[in-house]
Amino acid sequence: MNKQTESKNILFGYLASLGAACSYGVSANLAKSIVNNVTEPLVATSFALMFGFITLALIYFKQLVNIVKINKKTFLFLFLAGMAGSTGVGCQYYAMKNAPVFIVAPITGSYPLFAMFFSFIFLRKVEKQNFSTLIGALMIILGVTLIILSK
Amino acid sequence: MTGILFALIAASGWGSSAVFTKIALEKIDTRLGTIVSLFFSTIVMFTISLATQIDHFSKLKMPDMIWFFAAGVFTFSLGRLLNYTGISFVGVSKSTPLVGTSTLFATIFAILLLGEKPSPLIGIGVLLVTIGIIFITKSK
Repeated sequence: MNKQTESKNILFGYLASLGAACSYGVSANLAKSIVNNVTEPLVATSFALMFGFITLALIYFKQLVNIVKINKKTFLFLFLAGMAGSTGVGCQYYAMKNAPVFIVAPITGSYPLFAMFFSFIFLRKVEKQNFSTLIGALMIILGVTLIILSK
Repeated sequence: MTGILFALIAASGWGSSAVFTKIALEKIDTRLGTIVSLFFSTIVMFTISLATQIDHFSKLKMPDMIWFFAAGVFTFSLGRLLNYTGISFVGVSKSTPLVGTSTLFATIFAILLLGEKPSPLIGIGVLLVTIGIIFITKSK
């Protein structure tokens, strides 16, 4: 890969990550309305997941033919990714029920540090960690914690 | 103590999910990976909610589905696809903190659309998040 393509890919990755954050920001406001006016978080998340899956499967239905090419290891890791993410959502809900938000928010908000730690353990060969990224992550976690606590 | 334990499990769940995603996406297309992961998540979440909160299902009405559809599109179709794309292109260590800024965006949307009042503490939080983003995007 040449340097220009690599730079474009990195920029695309940053924009996609910030786009995801923006999308999650919209969904947080939707979630607030749903939990206040419609139903319980677990029920809402189940239906939202179903609609998310159907929408994406309809848009990218041509990709589905490649499903037969996925090996067992990849299936296992996709399953684990889905399971771990869902466990996170469920546990956050129970954490909020059992402890005040000023305790739960900083802990759950620190998940990028957990991601960096697991990445350091399991992805050492493919991902480089550096001090600057760690400082950036700590500042984001601190900033996000302040925003949550101000509410 | 129970609350702290669940919060720690939540944080480690999301953290490990990003690493599992990175490993899985090494050999397949991000879009296909997102669809398969959403399929598994849907099965797991429906099983948990049917087992623990089945009485809430009977109270749902058809118009509620519009809310669930909107949440599904923003959180999972768009959010998870972009999240996985970020992990695939720049890696777990750089992508995850950036995705973690979603609280900042949620606050901005709440101020702009729902008329919530900003406070000085939010201003400091926004400043720290912005500096954090600069640190991550400038790191090599």
